[in-house]
Parts: sequence; structure tokens; C-alpha cells
Amino acid sequence: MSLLNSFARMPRVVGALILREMATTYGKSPGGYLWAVLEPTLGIMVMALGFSLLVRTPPVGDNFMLFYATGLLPFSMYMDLSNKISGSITFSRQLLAYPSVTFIDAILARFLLNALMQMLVFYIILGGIIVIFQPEMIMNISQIALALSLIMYLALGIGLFNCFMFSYYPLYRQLWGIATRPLLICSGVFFTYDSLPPALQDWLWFNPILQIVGLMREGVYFQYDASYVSLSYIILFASVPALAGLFFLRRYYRVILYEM
Amino acid sequence: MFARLRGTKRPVAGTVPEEPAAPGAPRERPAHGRGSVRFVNVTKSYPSSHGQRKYIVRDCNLLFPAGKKIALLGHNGVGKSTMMRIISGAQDYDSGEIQCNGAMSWPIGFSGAFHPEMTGAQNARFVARVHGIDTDAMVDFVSDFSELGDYLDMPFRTYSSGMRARLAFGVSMAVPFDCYLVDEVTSVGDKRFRDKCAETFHTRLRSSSAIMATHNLSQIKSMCDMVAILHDGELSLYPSIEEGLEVHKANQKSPDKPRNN
Repeated sequence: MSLLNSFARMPRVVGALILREMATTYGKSPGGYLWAVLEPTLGIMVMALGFSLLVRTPPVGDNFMLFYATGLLPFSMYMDLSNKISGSITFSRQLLAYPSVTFIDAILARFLLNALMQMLVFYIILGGIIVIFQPEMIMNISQIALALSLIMYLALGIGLFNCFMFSYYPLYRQLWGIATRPLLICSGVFFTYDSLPPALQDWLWFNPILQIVGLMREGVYFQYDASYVSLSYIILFASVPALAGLFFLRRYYRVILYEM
Repeated sequence: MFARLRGTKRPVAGTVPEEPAAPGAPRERPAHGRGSVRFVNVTKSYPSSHGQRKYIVRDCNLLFPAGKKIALLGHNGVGKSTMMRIISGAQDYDSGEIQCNGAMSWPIGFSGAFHPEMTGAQNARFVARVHGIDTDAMVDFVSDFSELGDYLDMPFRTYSSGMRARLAFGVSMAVPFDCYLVDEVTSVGDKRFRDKCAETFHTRLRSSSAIMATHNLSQIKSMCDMVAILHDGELSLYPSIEEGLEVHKANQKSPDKPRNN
């Protein structure tokens, strides 16, 4: 009975946390949900407009909106999710005083709700572009799904590790902010990996987001080939910080809550 | 939401009538039964200035017996709230073991977990969902107990401190626990509310244990069976309230000897 209870406990608590976050974050203003879709849409429109004045065609295909959407959507998905997860202990700090809420519940609830939200945004924006511009395309749905799950897994891994590091070493947060500032430029949102000079290719290959953006474009554009991507590298890059983060959080989250 | 889907909901505390004891059965439960808390060599310390450590308890061995209402006394800053949190499992201790028999509550009086933008009823529903209790039964119980009336549907940030305490106490009384940890909440609010809390302790929660941190001496006499005193890194239990209060008074007069090393 108690074993059954502990299995039933987790979905119950995670469900309650998700409802709570929905009511307090998105439900505050009527535009809350709308804004989640509008923000990346406006970003893509500005980017598409700006670059269409500079160059005749985007690096792949002929639709500016579609090209920047395939780059910016996975990128902003990563940024939003990893930020939300790394802040989840602080966000649910008070709730962790309830003995039946664990840090795993808090992180899982944040991950599930925000991943679902980002998937919805992706679906609406990409669907909107396809309906409005009707570009000629042969989509590889399973490739797109693979890219989406990899970017979420990467965000979860980095988010878990940072969740511990941000609270335990406040200086690390500053350093992380500085180190990841050029991330938008070097993640292949504006260009493709193949168009880079070899010297840069050697370095930027190690950016897992750039590889996942490549996967996404391979799924959306039949003419694009992302053979440089290494799946095992991406999975390793996400799994190591995920395991380290879980290990240290499990050991230190009570210390972080009351003694930092 | 999930509780509703699952279909098996726990009732609100105290609504299930207790089975009458079989004739001839001993009325007293064993001291180590459900609701008891046993400390085995427990040490808890904080780093203080100059690299030294301040000990809250040191090598503490103690049994809080099942079914007793225990008042936890000690002057301000001695670590009563920390004790509450390490018993509830929210905070870590340095060494030893705390063996809790049965379900421990969170430190009651802790209204920090209530979201200021959510209404009192929404906050109560959240706690019900987390603990697998029927949400409607919870709201009914809380509105009956806290007497907040229309305020139950107002955002929590609009509440006065007395109303906050009433909501916090009402919500936690609805969850069935074997041991309730009460942190100062009952000293808030008017006399009527305090009487109601005392009455709830004696009737509905008769079979549960409680550990309560309070400064209110008259309340200790009306609500508690035993006194535990936290002083100078030592936790000691006095079965007689009068004796415990005497020791507490003596402790208050003597200056706290620092025991750092």
C-alpha cells in the first residue's frame, strides 16, 4: 500500500505544482499565454525583415521566415527551458518545506509545463509559417521530433547542473552569463555550419545547440544535409551535467534551502 | 486534478470515527508507537563567527512519546524553528538519526508556502492536491474552521496576519498526520481562535502527537502534556509541566554560556 502510495504521490504532486505554476505565471494577465507565442514570432519577423534587406536569399531554401524560425525556435526553447529549470529550486523554495514535495517534483513540474508550452509555441509558429507562405517542402517529421527531444534533453541537463551551481556558487552565475552571451551568434541561427570557414568549423562543431539546429534544418529542408552531427556527442554533452546536477542537488538541496 | 482521476481520496483529518477500543485492551499506546519521534545521537550545528560552530543539539538521545502534546521551550534564537524543520525532514542535521514513526506534518504556522496572488481557497486546494486529499472537502473544512467567510476567495496578499494564521492552521489541521509540528502559530490571533485551536487539539486530534514551539505559558498549561527544553545545546524532556516551566524560568535568568569548540 505504501509502495503504491509513493508511486501515486509523484504524479499527484507534480500535477498540483503544474496547476499552481499555470495559475500564477501565465494566468496573471489575459495576454500571458499569447505573449509566449508573440515574443518569438516578433523576433523571427524582425530577423527575417532585416536579413531580407541585406541578402537576396536565405542560406537554405527561399523563405526567410522559415529559415530563421528553424534556428531561433530551438535556440529560444533551449534558453527558456534551461533558465526555468536552473531557477526551479528558488522558484519552489517555500513549497519544499512540505515534506511531501521533493526537489525532483519541483524540477519535473517546471520541465513538463514549460516543455509543453515551448512545443505548443513551436507548433503554432512553424504551422503558421507553412500555412501563410506555403513554401515547397518535404518535411521529415521524425527528424524534427528527434531535434526537439534532443534540445529539451540538453536544456534539462544544463539546467539541472546550473540549478546546483547557481545556488552554491553565486559567482558562477556571473561567469556563466558572460561565457554564454555570444551563444546566439555561434549557434547557427543566422548561418549554416557548411558556410563557415574550416577554422571556425573546427571550433563551433563542439556547440551542441549548433548541431541540433542542423538536425532541425535537415528535418525541415529536404535539400539540407547535416552529416556533421554526432548524436552520441549531443547525448553525452547533456547526460554528464544532468547526472552531476542530480547527484549534487540530492546531496545539497536542503543545505541550499536553509543554510546558504 | 490527479486525485480526482485516481478516484481514491483520503478524507479530511478527524472525519473518520475512531474504532472503540476492545474491552480490556490497554488504553495507553506504547511510547514508541505511531506519532513518536526518537532522537539517536543527533547533532546539529551552524557555522558561527571565527570559524567556530554553534551547536543547537549535541549527541541528543530522546524519545518524544506517541500521542503526547509536547511544548518545546527555549529562548529566542536557541534553534526551536530549526528543530522543527529537522524533525519534519526539510532540513539536514550533521550526524545521528531521527526516527519518525508515521507521517510528520510540515512546521505549522508556516504560511510562507501560500502564494500571495492566489486566493485562500486556491492555496488550500493546492495543499489538498499535494497530500492527496479531496479538494472540495478541504475547502469546506477550511472555511468552517478559519471563519474567513468571503475572504477565502480574496488573494492571500490582502489578508491580515491573524487571518493568515487562521488559514495556515485550518489548512494543516485538515491533513491527517500522526505528529503535528506547530511553530508559534497559536499565539497569533484573538482569544476565540486560540481557544478553538486548543479545543481542536484535545478533541479531533486526540490520537495524534504534537510538538509545539510557543512562548505563551497559559497556552502550554491548557494544551500540552509535557515540556521539552532546548538550552545550551541540550534537549531535555520533563514529564511534568510545572517542573519544566521552573527549569525554563531558571534558564531564562542565567546567561547563556557559549559552548563553542
